[in-house]
Amino acid sequence: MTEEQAWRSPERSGMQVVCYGGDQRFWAIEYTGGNAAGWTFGSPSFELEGRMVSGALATLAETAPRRTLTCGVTEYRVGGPLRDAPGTELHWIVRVADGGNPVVRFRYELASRDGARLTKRTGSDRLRYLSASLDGCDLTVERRLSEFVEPVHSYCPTERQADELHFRRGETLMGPLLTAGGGNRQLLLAYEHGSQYPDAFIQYRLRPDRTVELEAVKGNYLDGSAPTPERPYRTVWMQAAAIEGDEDALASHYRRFALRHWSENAESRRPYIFYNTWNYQERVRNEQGGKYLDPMRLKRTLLDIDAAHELGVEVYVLDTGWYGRTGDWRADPQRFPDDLREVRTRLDGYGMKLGLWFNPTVAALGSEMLAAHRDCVMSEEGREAEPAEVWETEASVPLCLASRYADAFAGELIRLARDYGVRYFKWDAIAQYGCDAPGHDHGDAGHTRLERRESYAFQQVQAMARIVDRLCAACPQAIVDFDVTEGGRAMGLAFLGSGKYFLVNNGPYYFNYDVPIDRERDNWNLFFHPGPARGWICRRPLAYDRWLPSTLFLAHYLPDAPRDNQLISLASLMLGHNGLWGDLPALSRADREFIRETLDRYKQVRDDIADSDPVREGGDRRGGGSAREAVRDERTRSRRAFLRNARNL
Amino acid sequence: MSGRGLVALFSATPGTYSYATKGKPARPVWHTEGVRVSWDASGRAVIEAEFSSSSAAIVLFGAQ
Repeated sequence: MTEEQAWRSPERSGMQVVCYGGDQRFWAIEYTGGNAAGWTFGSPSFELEGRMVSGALATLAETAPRRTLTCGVTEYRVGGPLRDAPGTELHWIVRVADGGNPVVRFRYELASRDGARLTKRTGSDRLRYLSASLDGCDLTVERRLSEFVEPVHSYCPTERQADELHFRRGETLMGPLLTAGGGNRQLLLAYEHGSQYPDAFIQYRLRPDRTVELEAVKGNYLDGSAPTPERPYRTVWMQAAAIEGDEDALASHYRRFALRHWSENAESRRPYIFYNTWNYQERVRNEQGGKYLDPMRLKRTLLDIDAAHELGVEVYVLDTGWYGRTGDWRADPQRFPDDLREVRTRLDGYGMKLGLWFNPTVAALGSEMLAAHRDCVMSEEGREAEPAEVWETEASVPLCLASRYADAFAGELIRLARDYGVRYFKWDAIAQYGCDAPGHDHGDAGHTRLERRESYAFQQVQAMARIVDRLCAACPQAIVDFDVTEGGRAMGLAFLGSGKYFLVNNGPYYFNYDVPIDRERDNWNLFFHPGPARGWICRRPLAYDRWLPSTLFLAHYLPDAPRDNQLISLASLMLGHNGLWGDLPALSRADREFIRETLDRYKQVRDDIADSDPVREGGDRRGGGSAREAVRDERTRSRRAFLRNARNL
Repeated sequence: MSGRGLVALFSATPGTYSYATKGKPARPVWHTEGVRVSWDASGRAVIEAEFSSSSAAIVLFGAQ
């Protein structure tokens, strides 16, 4: 393909993306005006009918009208027939920020008109998403998002530097972010999927010639599937950036992309103040000898809402137990006889939003949802899971999110947004694995059990994102929060394109620290009490904030007296986690006023804080002195934040 | 430059801590008890916070 035949996007702040359609140069980020930060990407390649086929195009053209998205981005679609398989077309869908943010989001669609199938002749995935040269970069860093760190019992960001030896050995890195820098040039690659490290579904492979390839590991497609124009094979979304500047500048651009230009579901990015009933439910169970669902009563809820309003809470979330049975997701008629009408009226009167808890992967034995979706029940090795109580409610069985049930669940959420005015949806207890059944759209009887299992695990987070996007299309005010407080979740970038995360319940349990307890009777939670220790745990994942805004990671702090605890909780909350939980009606009038006045002041500047970039220096993991600055600097469109240990203060 | 934002200080050890901002924060400034804020010639804020116990201090720039 010649320079003249290439497709070029409009120039934005001196940057444009160009599609050449070739093997080594499929597309590129290019700059004008002497900026040397351009980057070129090799074509994807697929195993079609048993042979690896390059994604290089015979001809290319813009194949769909440009689409303007509400997040300040324009989507372009460019493609054509494959050079080496003319009956198959490849389309490159690319999103570029209109205002000049350099992070480009893209994916591919493959469709065959002659029945060509994706295959796995060797028994495993053979799909290369891209290749790119890191020549000239002296620092390559894998940035992981999904290591589950037991000392804090939470996912935390970690990083690993790749040196020359890693390239020579052809090592692989899970990412999902990979950055590389040299001189005044910084590069970033990322892919949108999720799983707990080291269970990679997609990985980077380093090559001795200093190229990097992004490749499928498992579950990315089904052996023998035939992508058609009506039902093409869609790759995961990927992200790339190339800039002039240092690593801090790259992180700043990426953070701003995550906040402003990644998702059209803008409400998920806003720094609302959230309250959730779960901590009080745990107090009732662990400290008062009651049951988790005892507080789920209209009278208590109204009292709670009044107190939450006095504190300045904006989103009031009823955690588990508000519903009669899972699957049908209607208010429990015993606990809320008026079908949440008074709750809604009270919240509306205060200008507050209603949030509700869901487990999207279960339906009660007596539910209409299960009756209509018996074929969607999860099974492993031919056995359906045993029915089990869900938080003191009717026994439920798990339903498969990769099946047709996902559409029905989306419909339930849309109904709740319409009928109950729900604006926040907390999704809990979603383990990534759990289904190898044939007939659920993740493999049939012709596939191995292992392939069906891995396909389900791969597709799950994509199905979740589709449900969120469908809900938000129907109700743009909706926020969906994926609880990743336990391990084994599809943690990564995929869900953040649609919603946000719920991070840290109570952190580690006693048994995580080898403290013997009676698990049937005792409180498991070690960091459950007012005081500095909970903050040490909850603030640790603030390290995400360098690349991903903390407003995408909800965590809750305790508002209990004494004042020192309240100060620690409020200062921690303001760093972006934005959640409170506890026994709000038990707070004194003076405590409520103090918290309200402090949060009112925070609200004056919270958008500036959310918009800013942190730079960590040292840390407060030891509970020693630390300071964190978050002052917005418009010149760099960034916040500068510093976390120092006591010796540096 | 809006200069609006936050400095949060945490300490588990009693004592007086000082911190000079890297940015040039906006005024007015609001802070919790036990905090003093002054300004140097370059427009940076210099924060002194006294801790008598394990606690936190909050300084909000651009808030009143």
